[in-house]
Amino acid sequence: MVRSILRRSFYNSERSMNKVLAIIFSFLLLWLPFQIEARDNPFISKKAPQKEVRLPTVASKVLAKIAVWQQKLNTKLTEQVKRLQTDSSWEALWPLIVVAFFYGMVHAAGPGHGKVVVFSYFMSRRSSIRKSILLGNLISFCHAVSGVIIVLALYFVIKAAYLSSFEAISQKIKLASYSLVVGIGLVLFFKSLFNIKKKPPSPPEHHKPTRFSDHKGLLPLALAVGMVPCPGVVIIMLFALSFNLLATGLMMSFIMALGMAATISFAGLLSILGQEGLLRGLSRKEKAQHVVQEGLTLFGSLLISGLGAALLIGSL
Amino acid sequence: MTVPILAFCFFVPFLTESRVSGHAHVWIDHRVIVYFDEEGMAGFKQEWVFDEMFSHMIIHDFDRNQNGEFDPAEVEAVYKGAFSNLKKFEFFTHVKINGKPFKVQFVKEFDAKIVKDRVVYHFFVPCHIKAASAYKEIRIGVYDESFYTSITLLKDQVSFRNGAEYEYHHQVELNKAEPYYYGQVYPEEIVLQFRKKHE
Repeated sequence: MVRSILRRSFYNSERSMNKVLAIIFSFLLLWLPFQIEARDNPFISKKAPQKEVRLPTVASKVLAKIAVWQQKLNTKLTEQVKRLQTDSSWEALWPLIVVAFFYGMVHAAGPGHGKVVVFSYFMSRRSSIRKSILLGNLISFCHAVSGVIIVLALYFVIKAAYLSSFEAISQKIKLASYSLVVGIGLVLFFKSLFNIKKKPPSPPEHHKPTRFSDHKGLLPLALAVGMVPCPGVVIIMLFALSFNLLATGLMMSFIMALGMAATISFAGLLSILGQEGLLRGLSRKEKAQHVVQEGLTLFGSLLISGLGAALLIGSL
Repeated sequence: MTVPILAFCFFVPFLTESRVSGHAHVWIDHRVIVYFDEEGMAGFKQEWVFDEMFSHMIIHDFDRNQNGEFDPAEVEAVYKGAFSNLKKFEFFTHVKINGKPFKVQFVKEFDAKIVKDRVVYHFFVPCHIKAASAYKEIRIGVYDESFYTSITLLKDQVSFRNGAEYEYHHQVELNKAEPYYYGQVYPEEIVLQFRKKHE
């Protein structure tokens, strides 16, 4: 009797959770196009300022407070790097590691095409949490490594002015990155379209809708998105180099990338769990479930292309 | 399933709402000095103190003789290389006079210094407003709409010069009617009211 009640209440709570997931997922779908963001350094960027779209969202004091926390993290990072000049003990090192990780996490929480691409990618296919963590890590490490390579080239080889050189190099890489994102999105779209047309119109198995993808595109996608150098890593690396702390700069970049990976992976996680909730919510309507999944597959791929195109046009 | 669901619910606000926090790459601490002249308000001077990391980039690029300070030629180079471009962004300075926008198209007396490893900019924003017997209201908000730069007005750092002929008062408040950055951040504004002193 008790077991039956517990099972029923668990079943009910799971169904209501699925509804919650579906609602939040739908909200994120609507929200997603407005997350497209790739700002340039206003101190040197040659581009005209973009007119922003004002959304009817609720401004919050919390946001301003988080901005202050990030500034505090930046100050703390500065202090710890300076401390390492004279004190290379573990006591001086571990706070730097912790601060760099959280700095990376918060840094990646800002609007960026990485998270939108990850979210869209996992919207376009059913996948595992492991894959979202993998893609998040691949993107953030490419993002950081790209920044590190540019800094090392600027510092040891080119020996040019940081601000203007970084902006010029970054612009060229952005153009390449956005073009590749458009291409990958289109490939995913046509591949999905081809798969949908090829498949018989039978509904999918219960609770196990069709998988359209083999995830071979993870690495190219990560490279295309992550090749844009991370300005945060660049600033931190240059700062560490100014104190002749190359190893510290590399370590901070690596830890920061781990922090960014945590945030970017969550975008994938949200997409996977949201889609799961939505499809499970439709588990009794198999045809609708099938249509929704195919729709998400095509929409997710198109969103990747659209995002790339919007960023590309904005960069020209 | 319960754990991921909880994680999902917990991080939704983190992803969607904390966008503003993560975007800043440059931080500025900010002060304002309002100047009056014989006719009314003449304008206001701004002081921007950059965070140490970004300061380091500016110092590396423009303190070419590495003497720890900006010489006049280097200040000119800083102006051209790391300031004048902000004209496109109205120098992050958003002004309204009696509710009407005043576009900041140029600034004067630009100076750059290095103080304790931090770069400090000073510049004057001309904004002539004739005093009358009735109060006039000026709102000054200094913020980067793209949030690439996070600008913080330091507490109690609005001051006045040459104001003996005028009655004036000010407060700092959030402008809840005009949020920026996709409607997610209320700009902090200095609201100044002044008029001629009554005989």
